[in-house]
Amino acid sequence: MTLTIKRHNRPNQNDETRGMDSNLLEKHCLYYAAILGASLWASWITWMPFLHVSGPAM
Amino acid sequence: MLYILQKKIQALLPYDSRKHPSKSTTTISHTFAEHNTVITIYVVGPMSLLFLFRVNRTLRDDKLSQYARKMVLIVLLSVQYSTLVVVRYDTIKGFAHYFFTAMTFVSLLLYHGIVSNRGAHWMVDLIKPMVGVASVLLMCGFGAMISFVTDIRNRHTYWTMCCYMEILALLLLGSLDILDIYVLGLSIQS
Repeated sequence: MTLTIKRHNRPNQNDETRGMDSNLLEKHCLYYAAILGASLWASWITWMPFLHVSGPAM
Repeated sequence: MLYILQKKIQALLPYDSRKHPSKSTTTISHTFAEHNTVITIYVVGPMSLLFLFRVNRTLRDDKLSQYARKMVLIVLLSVQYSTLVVVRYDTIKGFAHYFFTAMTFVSLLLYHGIVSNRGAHWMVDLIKPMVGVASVLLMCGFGAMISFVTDIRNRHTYWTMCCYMEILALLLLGSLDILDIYVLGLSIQS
C-alpha cells in the first residue's frame, strides 16, 4: 500500500506568505531579523559613550 | 597640528567637554559600568538576533566540513558568554575584562574569516578583508593608547581620540555582519 501525501496551502496563510517558497521565507525572516539586530547593535555602540554628553537620559 | 585635530574632534561633540569634565565622552566599557542594568537588558536583543544570523550562515555554508561547523558554533556560543562578561564591567574588571574583550573580538574575526559568503560578490570579497584589518588596527591603537599614554583620562585630545577609535573599531567589526546581510539580500533578489 502506498501512502501519497499531497501538499496544500494552509488556510490561515496570509497573502504575503501564500505561495512563497519556505526557503525564501526563511531568508526573508533572517534578513529582517539580522537588520534589526545590526541596527540595535550599532545604535548601542554609538550612543552609549555619548550618554554623558547628551545629558542624563536615564 | 594636534591642536587643529583636537578642535575638529571637539567640534563633533555637542559642546566643549573641557568646560564640563563630568560630561566628557567615555569608552564603551565605562558605560557598561555606569549604566549596567540598561545595557544588560538592551544587549540581549542585538546579541540574540545576530547570533541567529551567524548560526544560520555557518550551517548553510557548504564549503565547511561538519567538524569546522561544530567548531564555529562553539566559537559563536563562547562569543555570547564572553560578551556578557565584557558587559558586566561593573563587577568584572582588570585583566579578566581585557581578556574577555580580546577573546570576543578575536572570536568574531575568526568566525568572519572561516565562514564564507553564500554567493560570491566581488565587492564584498574586496571590502571585507579591508574592513577587518582596519578594525584590528583601530582596536590595537585604542589598546596601545589606553596602556601607554599616561594619565589619559585627563588629556582630553588623546582621550576623545581613544574613545572614537574604540567606537570606530567596533562599528567596523559590526559592518562585517552588515556586508553578510547585504549578500543575503542579494541572494533573496536573485
